[in-house]
Amino acid sequence: MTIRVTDIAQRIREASPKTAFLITGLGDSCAIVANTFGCGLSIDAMGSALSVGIGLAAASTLQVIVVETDGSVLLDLSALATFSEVQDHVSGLHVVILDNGMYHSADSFPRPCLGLDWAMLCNAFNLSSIVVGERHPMTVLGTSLNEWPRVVVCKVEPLNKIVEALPLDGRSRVAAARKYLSEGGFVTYEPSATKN
Amino acid sequence: MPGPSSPKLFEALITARVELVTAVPDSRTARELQYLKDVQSIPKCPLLIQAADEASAVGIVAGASSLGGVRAIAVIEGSGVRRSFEALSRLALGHSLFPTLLITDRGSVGESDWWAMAHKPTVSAVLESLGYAWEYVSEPCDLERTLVRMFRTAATQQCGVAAVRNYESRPFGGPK
Repeated sequence: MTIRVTDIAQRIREASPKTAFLITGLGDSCAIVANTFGCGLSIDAMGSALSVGIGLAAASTLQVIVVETDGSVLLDLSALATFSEVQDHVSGLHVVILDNGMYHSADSFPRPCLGLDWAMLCNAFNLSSIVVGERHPMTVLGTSLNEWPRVVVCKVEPLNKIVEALPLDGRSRVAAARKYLSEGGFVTYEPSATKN
Repeated sequence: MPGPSSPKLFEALITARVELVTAVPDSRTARELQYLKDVQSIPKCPLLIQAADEASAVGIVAGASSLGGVRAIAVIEGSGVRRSFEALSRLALGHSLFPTLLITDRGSVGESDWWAMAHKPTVSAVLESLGYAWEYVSEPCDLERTLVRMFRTAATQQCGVAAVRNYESRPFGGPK
């Protein structure tokens, strides 16, 4: 049993407080979540979305949701170890892994280790987790993000259509994210120029 | 707070108002980082996040500083710069997210470990290719001033900033 990406995207939006900030990684599945959520940052840095999310959550009081794809997470798997190490300091950080078992952008080439036991992996890193779409239906996820385990793995169905690329390049997206965080009063940035 | 037994790194971090340090310890920084870990409860002590990989470390700094607005720094060895090159490239060149780095130099004149000799040429190559503003810190007493200057430049958000410590660190308060 697999879940539609659009459904989990909607679920994430509904469960998140209005002030939550979303960080997504590469991939069309992440792009769908980003478009549904509305505010956040999509970074095209393979495997880095979780680390960036840890940094933002540790530096602020924001509730941060990181959405990654299975292939991207595997590129920096040790970030889960770092997340585990610091999870008490980043209580507002949750991770959602969209697992479709393939590299969609590489002509849907299957990823290695399709039988990966995510629950066991997260348990090994001492991270609470749940795998939905395989062992559990999506309805087990609570209505509030605070009720979710730290890591939610979603077995999602492959995308069968071309997803419209997210607007703006990486630099523009970061600028927009900083503007949102600053104008919303969530973060105060140092001035970029000072008089000597 | 800094005292007679605190290492130069801790004092420099406090003076530079660093709020978050992420690190992958190496032989030269282990004692400094252990000290930082031991004094986490002290007010104004920067939060230490020990990363399992330098690629994670630079991502954490990017998130904390460029997005979270705090002064953050990654303490890594020269080999860690290679390890994090892919992440640094994507973050810095593709997104203008510039992690600030404090790098332990290995492979300079005086180095006695054969495996460390390969670190030196690649550190400068990586930093130059990414357009980082960087310099060597050759004396422990220069570290504090260097960190202050680093964050002044980092605040411009125009490029990455790094310092490479190329003095041999000795365990503070004791012989090598």
